[in-house]
Amino acid sequence: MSWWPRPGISARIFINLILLLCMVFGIGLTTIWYSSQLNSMLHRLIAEDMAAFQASREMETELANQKGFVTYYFLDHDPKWLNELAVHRGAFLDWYDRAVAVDKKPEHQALLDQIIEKYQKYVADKDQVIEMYQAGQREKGESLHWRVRERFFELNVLCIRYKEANQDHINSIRAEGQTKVDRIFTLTVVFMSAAIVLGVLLVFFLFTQILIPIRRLSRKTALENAQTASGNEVSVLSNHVHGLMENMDRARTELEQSQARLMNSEKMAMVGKLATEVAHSIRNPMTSINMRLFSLRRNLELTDFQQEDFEVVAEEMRRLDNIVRNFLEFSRPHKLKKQQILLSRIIDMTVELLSYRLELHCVSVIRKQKTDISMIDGDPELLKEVFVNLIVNACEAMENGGEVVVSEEEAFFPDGRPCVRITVADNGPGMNEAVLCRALEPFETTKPSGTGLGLFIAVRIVEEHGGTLGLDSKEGEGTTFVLTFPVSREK
Amino acid sequence: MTEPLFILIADPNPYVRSFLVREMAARGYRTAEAASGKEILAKLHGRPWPDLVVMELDFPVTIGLAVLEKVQNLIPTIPQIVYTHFTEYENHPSVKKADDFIEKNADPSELLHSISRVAARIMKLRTKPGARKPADGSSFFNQV
Repeated sequence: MSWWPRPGISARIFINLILLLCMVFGIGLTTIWYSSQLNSMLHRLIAEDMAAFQASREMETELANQKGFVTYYFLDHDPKWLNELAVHRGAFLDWYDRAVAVDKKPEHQALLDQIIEKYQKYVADKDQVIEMYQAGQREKGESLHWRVRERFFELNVLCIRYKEANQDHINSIRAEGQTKVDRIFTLTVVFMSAAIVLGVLLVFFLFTQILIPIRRLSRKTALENAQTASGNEVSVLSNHVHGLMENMDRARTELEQSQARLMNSEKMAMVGKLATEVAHSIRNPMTSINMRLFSLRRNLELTDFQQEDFEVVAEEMRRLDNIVRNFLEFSRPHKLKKQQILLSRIIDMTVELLSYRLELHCVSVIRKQKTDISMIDGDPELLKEVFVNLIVNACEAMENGGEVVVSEEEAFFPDGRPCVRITVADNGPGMNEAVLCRALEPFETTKPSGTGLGLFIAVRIVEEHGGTLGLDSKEGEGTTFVLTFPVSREK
Repeated sequence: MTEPLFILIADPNPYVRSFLVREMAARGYRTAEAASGKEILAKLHGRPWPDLVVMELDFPVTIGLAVLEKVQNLIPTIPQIVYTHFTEYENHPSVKKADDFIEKNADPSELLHSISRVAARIMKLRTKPGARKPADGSSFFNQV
């Protein structure tokens, strides 16, 4: 295990990129630096060194050109030779001046000083020779002339040295330039190799750490989603990741729902067991009571009031029996005894049945009946139970009395099938949202003596008729139940 | 004059039993009562033997179905009428073997109709030529 922490992919790629950039910058900067140096070298070469070299060559030539004129003059005394000499002397001095002007190198300057010193002596001696010749001192002049010739040779040697010095200098500059070019070349090769290595590394990183994993993932994704793997793998992958996130959300929601369902079904299992027990133990004595009532009815001669009391007892017993039956329905599905019925009639019967209770609670039922409303297929007993439940609920909610509006209309299910819609609305205190949410669940009750099963059974019965039971309520504005039943197909 | 039909009424509720006894007596049947599975079996072992068993399936200790099956195994030929509010057992094989199934409610007329149907069948067998009169004069089943 190394003490140096291994850098992550992004760090590695970042470092690589930085190095690569440094390389490129390095190459660029060195090239610029060297080319500017070469440029200045070239400028100097052209402006100074070449000029100095030319001047040195010309000086040598002009010096050589000065040779012979005095001899010619000695032979024929033609002054044109002296004129020619003067021209070449001027040219020599001109070139010397130029050389001094351009050549600032100290060793060259020293050489030039030597040259001019010797030249001046040479010129002075030569002038003396000419004067001697002009004065007719031939022998004296001749001997001096020989000496002057030696001076010329010395001067010539100096001029040649100066020229060679210039040539050497140019050669050294060329060699220097060559070295620099070589160095640039080497550096460029080194930087370029490094850049290539880094580039390859970068590509390697990108491929092995990013592109190949992405491609692999997206290929799997493409298999799962039956998409083509071609095209932008990153977008395929990101689509898939989004899909995964959605899936996760959905899975979580489903899990929560199934947990809720599980809890509910556990509750239901308990309800089923309890209901069966209760119903069975109640049913037996109730049957006995019903038998005795039946027997009484057969044998008694009753006054009208007694008859009414008896009817109420019998009716209530029947209702009790139905309630117990409904309890029993928890443990097994309903066996609907369906027949074509008018819901209006069922509501009439319910209101009639509850007249005593309605009076007790000071609740009035307002009917908004519709003539020619369609028949439905339903079990009258069970449906009566539904309306009893709803109206009793309303009565118990409105402690200080109120009214229940029961309206009927024809409507349509969302899928377009015709239905009969019954609305049962009270003007009681309503429910808050929390109560409303749980109102249709079993064992949810706000009444101290309630079982919390009434609305639950009602919903179940309505659903078994292929209908729906909805509920809407606002605190302080009453509660509205909306029931829909499919219209009977038989006419 | 043939002997009146002897009916064993098996129900855990004494008031139901007494009501049925009254109703049947009014129609001239003789009756015996049993309040539990044990009593039913005791009555079937004793004398006189019943001609017909009318039984509830809702017994507190022994499950009614088991009692019915025991009765059917003990005396396969004894007619049984299941008279119960356990409607879910209507299609149970053992219940199907019984002569009739009637849902218990306030009005006993359906039960009485069923009893008279079974009685007619029994009477027909009793009056058959060659049929020996029972020694104790009580039950058709003593001859079988």
